Amino acid sequence: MSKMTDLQTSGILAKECLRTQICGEGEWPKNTVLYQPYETEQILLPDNSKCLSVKTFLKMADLEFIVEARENAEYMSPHRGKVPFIKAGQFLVADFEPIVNFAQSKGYSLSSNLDEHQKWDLRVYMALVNNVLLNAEIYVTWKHEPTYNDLTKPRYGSVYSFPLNHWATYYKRCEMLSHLDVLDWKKKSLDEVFKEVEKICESLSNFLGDKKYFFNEKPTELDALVFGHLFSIITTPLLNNRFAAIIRAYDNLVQLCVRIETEFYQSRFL
Amino acid sequence: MFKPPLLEVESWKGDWGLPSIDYKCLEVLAFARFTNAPININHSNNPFKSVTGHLPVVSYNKRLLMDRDGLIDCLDKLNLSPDCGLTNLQLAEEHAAISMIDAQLEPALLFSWWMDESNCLNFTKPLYRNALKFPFNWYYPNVYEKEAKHKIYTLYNHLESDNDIMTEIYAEAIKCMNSLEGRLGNNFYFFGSHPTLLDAVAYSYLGPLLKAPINGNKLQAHLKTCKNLCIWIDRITREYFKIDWQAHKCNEKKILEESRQQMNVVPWYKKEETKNILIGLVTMVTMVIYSFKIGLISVSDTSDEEDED
Repeated sequence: MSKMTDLQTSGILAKECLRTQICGEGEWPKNTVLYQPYETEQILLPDNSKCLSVKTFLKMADLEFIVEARENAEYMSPHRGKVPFIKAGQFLVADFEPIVNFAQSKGYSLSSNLDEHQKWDLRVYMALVNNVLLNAEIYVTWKHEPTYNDLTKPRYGSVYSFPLNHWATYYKRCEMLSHLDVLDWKKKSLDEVFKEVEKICESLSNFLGDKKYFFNEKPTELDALVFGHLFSIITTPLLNNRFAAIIRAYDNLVQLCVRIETEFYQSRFL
Repeated sequence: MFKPPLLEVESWKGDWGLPSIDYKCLEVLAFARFTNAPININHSNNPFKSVTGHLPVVSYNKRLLMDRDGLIDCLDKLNLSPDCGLTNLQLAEEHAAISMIDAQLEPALLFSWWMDESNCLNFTKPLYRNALKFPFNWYYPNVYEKEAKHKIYTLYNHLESDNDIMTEIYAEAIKCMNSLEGRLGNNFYFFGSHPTLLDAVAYSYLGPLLKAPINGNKLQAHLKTCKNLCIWIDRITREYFKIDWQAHKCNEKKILEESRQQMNVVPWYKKEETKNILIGLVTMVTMVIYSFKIGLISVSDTSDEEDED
C-alpha cells in the first residue's frame, strides 16, 4: 500500500489512477461491444491472436459482451492500429492489457488470489508472450515474402477498393517493418525466428508442467493470452505448417489449448 | 606457450562508479565478469570502426559476435555459462523476465536520456561529446539522439503526444521496477548466491538509471526508493567491478576533501557573514551622516551652556 502512495505522489501513474476513479467500482457495463476486423476474409494472424485472447479473457471472467466485426476497426480504435477494442459504457479501451486493467478496476480479476511470487510469474510470462510470440507472428505475416504476397496482401486489401487496397497494404507493411526493425527482428532469418518460437514454447511448457492451468486449478489472464496466441497459430492456415508444427511438439501446451477450447467455447454449441 | 584466445571488447568508458556509460556495453562487461570469461576490454570510445555505428564491438577469435545470443552461444562453447545450476523452471523464468526487462526498461532509459529535452542537452549529449574524439563528437551524439527518438516513436506510434508516451513508458517502467524489487527481496542475486544472465541484463539498465547525474528524473527518484535494488546494484559493482568502484570511491573522497579544505581555507575577511556585517555598517554610517547633513539629527550645545550657567 505504501508503494501505491509513492506512485501517486510521483504523479506518473496519476492518469491511470484517475481513470480508475472515474470508472469507479460497479457493474460491468451492459451492452459492452467488442470491435474487431472480419474474421473469415480480413483478419491477420497477429490481430486474430489478440482478439482471441481478449475474448477468452472476457469469457473466463464471465463478462458479457457482443462481438461486432467492422472493416475499419483498426481506424476506429482509440489507439490507432490496435485491435480489438471494447466499448464499455462511455469508455473505449484497446488492447489486451488495458482491457484487463479496466476489468480489474470494475472488480473483475482472474489473478486477485495469487500471491506475490505468482503475480511476478504472471507479469513476466505475459511480457514474454507479448514480446516474442507477437513479434514472430508479425514477422511471418509481414516480413516473410511468400506469405505476404499470397496471404497478407489479398486479405488486408480485401475490404478496400482498387487504388486504396495497394496503398493501405503498402503503408501498413512499412509500419510493421519499421516496428520489427527497431526491435532488431527485421534482420533475423525465418529459421532464427522459429528458433525464438521454439525457445518460448520450451519456457512456457516448462512453466506449465502437468498442471491444469498455469496457476493450478483456476484459469488466469496468462492462460487467456497463451491460448489466444497458440490456438490462432495452430488453426490459421499458412503457407507451410512449420509454425504450427513447432507448437504441436509441446504436448502439454496443446492439451491446454484443447482444455480451454472445450471449456469456454464449445459449450456454446451444445 | 599456448595462449587461449581472449574475448575482445571495445567499449565506452566508465563513469559514476560504473564500468561503462552505455547500457549495451555494461551488459557485455557484466556478462563476462559473471562468467569469469577471459576478456580484454578496450575503452576505445570510438564507434567509427563498428559496422552498426554502436559500441560494444565484441569479437572472439577474430569472429564478430553481433548480439546477446551470439555472445551466449560463444560462452556456452567455452563452457562458461552463468546459468549452469539453474533448473528448467528457473531458466524459463529467466527467459521471461529478460523479455519483460528489455521491453519495459529500454524505452524508459532511452526516453529519460534522449527525449527529455533538458537532460538530452545538458547531460547525454555532452557525455558522449566528451567521450568521443574531435571529428566524431559532432556526429555521433546527434545520430544516437535520432535513433533513440525513432525507436520510441515507432514503438509507441499509437499514442499522439510526447506526454502520453512519457506517461505510458514511465508507468510501465515503474511497475517493472516494483516487481523486480519484490522478486529480489533480500536475496543476494535474483537466483540465490550467484549472479546470472538476468542480473546482468537488469544491472545494465538499472545501473545507469540510478547512477547517472541527471536532474529531476522521476524514474531515478523512484528507483532510489527501491532499497533492495540500490543495494543490489552497489553489490554487483563492488564485487565484480572492483577497480571502477574503488576509483569512484577515491574520486568521491577527493572531491569531498577538496571541498572541505576549501571550506577551511576561507579566511575570515572573505566569509559571507563578515561581508554582510561590513555592508550593514557602511550603510548605517552613511545614513547617519546623511541625516546629520539634512538636519534630522542635530547636536545642540545648549545643555552644556545651561550647565555652565
